[in-house]
Amino acid sequence: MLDSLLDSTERETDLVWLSVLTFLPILCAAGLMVIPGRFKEWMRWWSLLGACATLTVAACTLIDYHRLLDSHSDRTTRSLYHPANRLDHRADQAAYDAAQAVPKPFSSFNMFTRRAWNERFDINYSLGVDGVSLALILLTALVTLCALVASWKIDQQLRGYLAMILILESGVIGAFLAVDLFLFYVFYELMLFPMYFLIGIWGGGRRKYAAVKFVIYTLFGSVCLLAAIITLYSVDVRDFVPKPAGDLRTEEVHTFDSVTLSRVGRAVMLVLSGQEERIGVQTVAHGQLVPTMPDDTNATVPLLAPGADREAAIARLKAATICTPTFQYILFALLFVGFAVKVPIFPLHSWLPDAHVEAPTPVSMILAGVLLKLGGYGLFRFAFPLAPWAASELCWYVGLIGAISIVYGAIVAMGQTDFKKLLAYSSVSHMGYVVLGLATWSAGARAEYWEMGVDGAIFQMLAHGITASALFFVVGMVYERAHHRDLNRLGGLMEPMPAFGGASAILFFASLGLPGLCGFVGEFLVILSAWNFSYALAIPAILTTVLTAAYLLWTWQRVYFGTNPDTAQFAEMTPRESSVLLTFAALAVALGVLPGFLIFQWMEPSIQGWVDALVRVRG
Amino acid sequence: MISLGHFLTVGAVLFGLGLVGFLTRRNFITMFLCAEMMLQGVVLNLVAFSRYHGNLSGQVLGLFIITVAACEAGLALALFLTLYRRGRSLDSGAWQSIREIGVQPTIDVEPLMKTVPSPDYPRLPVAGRLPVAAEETARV
Amino acid sequence: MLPNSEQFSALLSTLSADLVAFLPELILAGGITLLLFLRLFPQLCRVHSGFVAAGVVALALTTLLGNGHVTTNADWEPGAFTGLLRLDLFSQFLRGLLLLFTLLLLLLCDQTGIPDRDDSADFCVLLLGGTLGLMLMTSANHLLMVFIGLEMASLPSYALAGFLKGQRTGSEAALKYVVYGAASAGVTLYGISLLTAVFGTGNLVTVTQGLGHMIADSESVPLLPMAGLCFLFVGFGFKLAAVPFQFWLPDVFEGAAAEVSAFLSVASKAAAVGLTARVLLLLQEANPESVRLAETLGIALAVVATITATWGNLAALTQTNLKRMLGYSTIAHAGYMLMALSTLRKDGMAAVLVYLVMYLVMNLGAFAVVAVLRNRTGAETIAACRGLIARSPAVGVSLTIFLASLLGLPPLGGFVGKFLVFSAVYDAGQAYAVAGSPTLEWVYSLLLGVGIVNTVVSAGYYLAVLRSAGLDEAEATDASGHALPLGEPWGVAVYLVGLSIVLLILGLVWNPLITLATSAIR
Repeated sequence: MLDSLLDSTERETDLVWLSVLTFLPILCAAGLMVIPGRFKEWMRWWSLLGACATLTVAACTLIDYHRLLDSHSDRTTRSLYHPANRLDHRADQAAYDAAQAVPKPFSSFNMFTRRAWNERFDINYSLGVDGVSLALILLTALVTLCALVASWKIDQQLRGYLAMILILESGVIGAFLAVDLFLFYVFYELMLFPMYFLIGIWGGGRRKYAAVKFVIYTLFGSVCLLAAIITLYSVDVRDFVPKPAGDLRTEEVHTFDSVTLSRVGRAVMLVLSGQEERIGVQTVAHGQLVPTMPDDTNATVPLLAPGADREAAIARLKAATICTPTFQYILFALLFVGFAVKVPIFPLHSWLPDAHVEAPTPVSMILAGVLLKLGGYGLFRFAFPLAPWAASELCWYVGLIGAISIVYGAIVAMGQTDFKKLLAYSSVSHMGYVVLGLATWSAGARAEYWEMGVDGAIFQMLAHGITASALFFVVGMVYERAHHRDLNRLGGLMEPMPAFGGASAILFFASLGLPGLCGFVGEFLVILSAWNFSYALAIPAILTTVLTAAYLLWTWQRVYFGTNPDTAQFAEMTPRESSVLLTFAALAVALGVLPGFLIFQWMEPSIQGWVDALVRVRG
Repeated sequence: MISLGHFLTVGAVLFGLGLVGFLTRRNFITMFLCAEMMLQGVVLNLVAFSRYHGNLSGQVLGLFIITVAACEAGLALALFLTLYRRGRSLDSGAWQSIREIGVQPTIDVEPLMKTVPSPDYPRLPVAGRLPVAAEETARV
Repeated sequence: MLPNSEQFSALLSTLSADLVAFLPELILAGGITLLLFLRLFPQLCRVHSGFVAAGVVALALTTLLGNGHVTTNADWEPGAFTGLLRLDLFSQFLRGLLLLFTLLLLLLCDQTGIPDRDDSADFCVLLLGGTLGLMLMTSANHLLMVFIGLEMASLPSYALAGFLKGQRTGSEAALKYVVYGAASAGVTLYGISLLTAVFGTGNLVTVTQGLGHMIADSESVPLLPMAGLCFLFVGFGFKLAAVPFQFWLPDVFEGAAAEVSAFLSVASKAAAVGLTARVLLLLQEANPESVRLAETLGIALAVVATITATWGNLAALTQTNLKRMLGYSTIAHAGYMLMALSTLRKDGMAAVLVYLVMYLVMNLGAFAVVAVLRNRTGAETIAACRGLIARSPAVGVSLTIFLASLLGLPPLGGFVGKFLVFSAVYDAGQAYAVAGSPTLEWVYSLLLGVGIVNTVVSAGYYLAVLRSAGLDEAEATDASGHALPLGEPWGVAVYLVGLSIVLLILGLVWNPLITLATSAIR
């Protein structure tokens, strides 16, 4: 045992590091089980410690990721982008190394790990970090930590509650890290039951209805996702997976590896758009796959695995079922619907208001701050790369759905009197920007506007994660004091709670997109790119910002201004509450003032690579 | 001349009679006897084939069937006995307490057998005791 | 007729080898005798017969695992006991599974105390006898052994179903089981007689080879052997509870004790699936190249599988009794297993073997929770689960895991089973398309769709129980409104948590299991 750990071919730091990042919360949940039931305070501190540790590990991963970016940078270019750092390149390299007749030692320190989980179905335990997933993991760890602080008052079945939140965190982080589709699905489903119980046991009056509705919608989405995964698994990828030299086996190969399947998707796109002569074979130099440099204007796109027979592979690909428009449309539709439920997007959103209204405050924070991001992340990581042809054909309609969500969410939010429901609909509206940003395919030459749109979409996810969880926390604080959430009966909170009012003002303004605060950056980038993509989509989005400002300011006015004898005796926020609120407020300001330094500098290279890969096959 | 076909026909008829009887009868004993009749059809088949093929395998199978059928009958009759003790009835319609929700038990519209009221036979007094004579009302 | 001296000595030498391979069954038979005689000696009466039985089963299991004398079915060798049994890896796998299940069930019975001290010996004898019959079923290589195995398994099951003598429902369950069982035995036997008649022998290999050639070669299949095969499958279908022979199952499950229901649901089904798989495999091996078998028998099985799974799932949706609901869920799972069997391919059979392992753990667990509920609350309804997670976290969380696994959620064992079955169905469609039958590709794609839709439907009733267990308030509360603890013995809690951990591990590490199942099929 010890020998195998020390053996250099077996040892891999990334495996340990990424697994710790994923499973640390679950380990803490297991630790909770041995704390005797009467030590409730201990349980709270223990889970807080676990969440802190997870955040620390995530932060250290960020530092390590910086090192990875630096390792290929020559400091002469403005950006840290180098194709060798792209997640798909690292994944291909790992697959290539593993396929050698004499497997090479695992390369540590490239933030990617891949181990066989099940040989019969070629399922891999492959986890990888890139800028986007790392940003969302940091957000997850932070929001979970704050949610745990926010749930200090919860006393009913405390052990189960804390364990559920920690398991949920593990599931989310695992889903953000997973590169293998099967593994992703496992983590994705792992989140279902904790959320079900968190809403169903600790929720408000109609909690059972909300919990069941949540499960039904989510299951519907994940069935679509499963169907898409099975469909993808049926694709013969024998020309796309590396084989050891001299391996002449000719049977079909199937895989769950999303990176390999995305290469298949790009090859299909080339075939369907009549550019099949551009499909190329990956080259190897000194045992390393050669990445395509961004300034490389070479027309061929290396998509086939090293050593593949190009002509035969293209002939095989053209004969396959996957290479038909219908198949691609169905695949994209399944993936899109599967993730759209989670985002949520206009016709599939109706679980969200119910779930938010009934969930306890900390769970609402996690739901808005983290779980919704998984939908956007899924669109980014899986839906677009796996079916790029259909995505590029349908992107205007996808953008349309996003724009409808933006407008619809804002209009419905306007009419709400329940504070929490209003925020839930504003979530629908804000997440619409994410979809719109992702959909602005090939606006402008070489798609620099699309890159901007994707930048904006991902940043919008982060910003919304911060502002939405903070605002749900604000609602929770108000509810704790007033015991209702009716906007018409609130008011005058500024008088007894000036500090609270000040902090929440920052968050309200951040949410409505005031320049200098975090909400502005994402929306601005998305609108800019949408303007260059289609006026019809951009104009409603622009006009909705006015609507958003209107309903948020109106809410602000109804809650904080005026004098109200009912609220005059409210206590100012406690140190515990202020620690959460001020963290969020500080982040909202910091991300609004220094988005480039704090986020884009290390996140942008990944997006650049992602856009580059897809634009290259568009031709 | 009696050929294989005759045996098979008799076997099939026995089997069919048993099956029909099993499906239509309601008395436990009769139902079970019908199930046994199905087995007899099978045994007849086997024995006939054994003779036709000129080997013993069919007869061996037949012997086993008879044995196993005896075991089954023993168990089933024991069960019927306990059921009879509990319910005083061998009617399978009397056992409907386990059923789907919302399905009403099947109740016979008219009783299966008309219970003929027994005629009022004179009763003998218990031995060694004087019969109590009905006192006649005195008429004046 | 009688063997000469040379043949006799050859028979003797193979007999000794066969007896060694047959040792687990012999140990069980010895154990049954021991249990029966134990009561004759007053000083031994104090020994709890549950432990004796568990010891016997454990001994049989270790003998089986340590048994190196395994024949493979690489060539058409006669099999053990002059061709009556086939003690190959396939039967080894299933016999091991059955023994393991019986051992776990005996341990559970010890915890829940369903046979009280006086009845314990009877109960254990019946259980061991039933297991013995099921083991014979899985290794049968002759129609005679098929029949004997079926009956040896059925007779103790009838008695077990009515074991709760004090209850009217128990007797009714046994009654329904016996009556239908007798009739189905008759039909099976008629099929056996027809098959024996046509082929002159009951040896399964000869029979299936003859049948396979008949189906593959001739345009119209002769009536007599086909009728025989259909009647035989009626008997298997009765044991499997496949539609239209499923009607006995919910009633029997509702009436019998939860432990007995677990036995009927898992062990009985495992053996029936094994026997069906063996017959189908032999049929397929008789004619490996032809798609005609799949075009006739495969499609018929696929139709039965579709109806069975759909029926089970739809009927389970409206149930209020937990055991009855699990009964319908058993029918639905039989449908899933039939889907894999209907592929008539080796990886489908291997998928079924893996499915059976997962099914053993999760269904045993679910019935164990029912048994605990019955003991502590006196009710077996879904309403009795109300607030279960609050009342007893160990039992409630275990129930959640078992039901989530039955539903097929990752990363639990049930998901792996379903995944293997569905991918086997999908592969079959692809393979038959390559072999030149687009109809079959269409049929199996449809079957895959049916399976997935059924899984979604089944979420309805499994989640209803979980909703009751997790979200509803407990009915039994103390003065301050807190849920009363269930108060289950710690042994049961350990048992349930152990089973759920096993289920989780099986869901994460399933490579060895697939390897084992694949080698058992080959």
